Amino acid sequence: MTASTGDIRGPVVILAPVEGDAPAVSQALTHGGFTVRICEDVRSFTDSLTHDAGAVVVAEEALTIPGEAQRLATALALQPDWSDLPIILLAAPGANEDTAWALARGLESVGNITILERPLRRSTLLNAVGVALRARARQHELRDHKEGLEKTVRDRTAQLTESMEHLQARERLAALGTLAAGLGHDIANLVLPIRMRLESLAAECSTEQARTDTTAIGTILSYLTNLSAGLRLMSLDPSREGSSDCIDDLRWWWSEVHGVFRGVLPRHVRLEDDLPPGIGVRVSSHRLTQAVFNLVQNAGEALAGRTDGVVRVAAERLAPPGAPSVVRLRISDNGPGMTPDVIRRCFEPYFSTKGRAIATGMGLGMARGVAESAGGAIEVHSEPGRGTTFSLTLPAVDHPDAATSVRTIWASTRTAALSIPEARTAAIAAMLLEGLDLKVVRHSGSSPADASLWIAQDPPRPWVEDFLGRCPGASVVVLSSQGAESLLPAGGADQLARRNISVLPLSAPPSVLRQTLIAAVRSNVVVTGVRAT
Amino acid sequence: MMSTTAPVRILFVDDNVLAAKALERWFAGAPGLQFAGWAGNASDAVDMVVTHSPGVVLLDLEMPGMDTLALIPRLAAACPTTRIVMLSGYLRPGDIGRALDAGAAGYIGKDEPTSVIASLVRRVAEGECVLSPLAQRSYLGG
Repeated sequence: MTASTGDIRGPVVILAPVEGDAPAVSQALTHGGFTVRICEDVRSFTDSLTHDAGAVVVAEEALTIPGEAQRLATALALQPDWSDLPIILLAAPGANEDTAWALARGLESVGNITILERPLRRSTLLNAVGVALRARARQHELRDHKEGLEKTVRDRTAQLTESMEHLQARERLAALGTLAAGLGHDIANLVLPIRMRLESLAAECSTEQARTDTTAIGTILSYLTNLSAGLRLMSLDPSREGSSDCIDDLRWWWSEVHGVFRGVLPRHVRLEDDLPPGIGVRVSSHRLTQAVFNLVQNAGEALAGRTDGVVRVAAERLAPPGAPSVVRLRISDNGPGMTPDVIRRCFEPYFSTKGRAIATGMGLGMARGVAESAGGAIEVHSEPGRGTTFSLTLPAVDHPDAATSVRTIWASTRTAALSIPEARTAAIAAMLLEGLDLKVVRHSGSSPADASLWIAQDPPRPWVEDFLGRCPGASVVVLSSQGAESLLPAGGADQLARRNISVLPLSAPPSVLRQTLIAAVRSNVVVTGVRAT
Repeated sequence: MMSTTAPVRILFVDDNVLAAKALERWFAGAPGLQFAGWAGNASDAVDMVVTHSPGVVLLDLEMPGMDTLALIPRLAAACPTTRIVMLSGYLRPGDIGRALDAGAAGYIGKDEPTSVIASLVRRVAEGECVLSPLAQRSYLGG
């Protein structure tokens, strides 16, 4: 049988005196399709053995030279663990059989020995070499398989270690969030009594210096109040609290959080803002705070040790043609900038250029998550030596025709008439309407002469008709102790909705009244001919 | 509704004794307001409402081991003329909504200036429902 050379790795190394059988063996093997290399002594043979030999054919007489057998044994003993090099020992023709066996026994502890007695048939040699090479090929396969397994184990171990680190980082973040919330709450609980004590003290101050001191302490307390408000704002959980999903005016948001941002910047770094009034974004306040906090914190770390560092937060409203308006919020610094490689990787979760002790590598990933979950995006522009700018592009709150808060629009134009004898409901409704910046007018008797919104308890149907006839575009909220049936026109509930009439039970809780009033107010805000919804 | 001449008697329900002492001291100098007492837990609060019939209870939202939202109707039942206002460091819209639904007459943030807190307490005593400016922003949008 002839071995397929396609399965075989490495040449057949022949160790035999050149003047002896080496040429004949080489010729036979070459003719049989094997790659052959001839070595005249063990020293030259050793190099082949340590590199790529597939099998070795050794003439007995090559080992009868004093010291050669021992050299071969030494060389074989140095094989790697996976290797058991096949050795075919060609016993000398006509020699004492015991000599070959003695040589084989000398090598068997370190080699894989087969004895063939000369003279031998060519086919016997080819078959023996083929078998040896296939055995060698399997050794290589086992080695590759073992190395593959070892690599897999190493990789999995590294992944596990990394996962553990990420888990620990998440736990650290969660713990920090809890700590921030608790700290903010505790500060608020402590600041209130301090403020009250201070005011009591200030009322009794008799000297100018004492008044100056109490004023200064009051200023410090204001800073602490802002700090604690920001800490609490950062820790809000939207899924738990269902908080508002938009900020009508970034300037209000900034007034709440800038104290916290200031607190994470190094002492000499300036925090600047350029936030024109009336720019709103469709992101909840705490989510935006989390995102911008991370960006500001990163900028501060990039500016550590600088005395001229500036971090700037700026917003502008963009109205791309044919697309909804967006707000671009830029957080810039004049720090050392980032290399292209860092820019490419900076949004990867857990990527950080900082040490594990101070970084989780999740900040920028979180900022991107906030932007993208709001339907926006985040970009970074940076060059080494030229600072860094992160741009958050976020959906804008659409104020009709102008970047003006809806609450500001209502304030100048809207009146709500209130006809509710039930005291608590009337008080709650007045509180909510005033909170929505409507002017509240108490009204009794028939329908009001003029109002944008009329909230009435059990009004007679003709009064409602009179009011809507007199004030087209106005809304009516009916608080009914009887149910809606008495007011339903021929078209039913749909007809009511089309005419901006809402009906809810007089016993509806304040949270339901709030939703109804907000919807009623929004349904008839009219600015420059555009109905806002 | 309280008389316009009689001071508004206030019961403070909070586990923070430092705040209670400071409020007592501060209310002593606040025109039209009178500190009626302090309770650090639910049963003391109910007992003191029965005993003192305060015009206004200032109730902290989060106190250890106490469901303050459940305490609101108990206090209201103990003295129907007493009005309960939340005084909290938390301004989460959900908290504000739940407190109002439970019967609170208002929600005031602890970060508000003391003059605002005093003014809102007087308005509550006169029958209004109130949200402090920070609570209003949180609950009704900014």
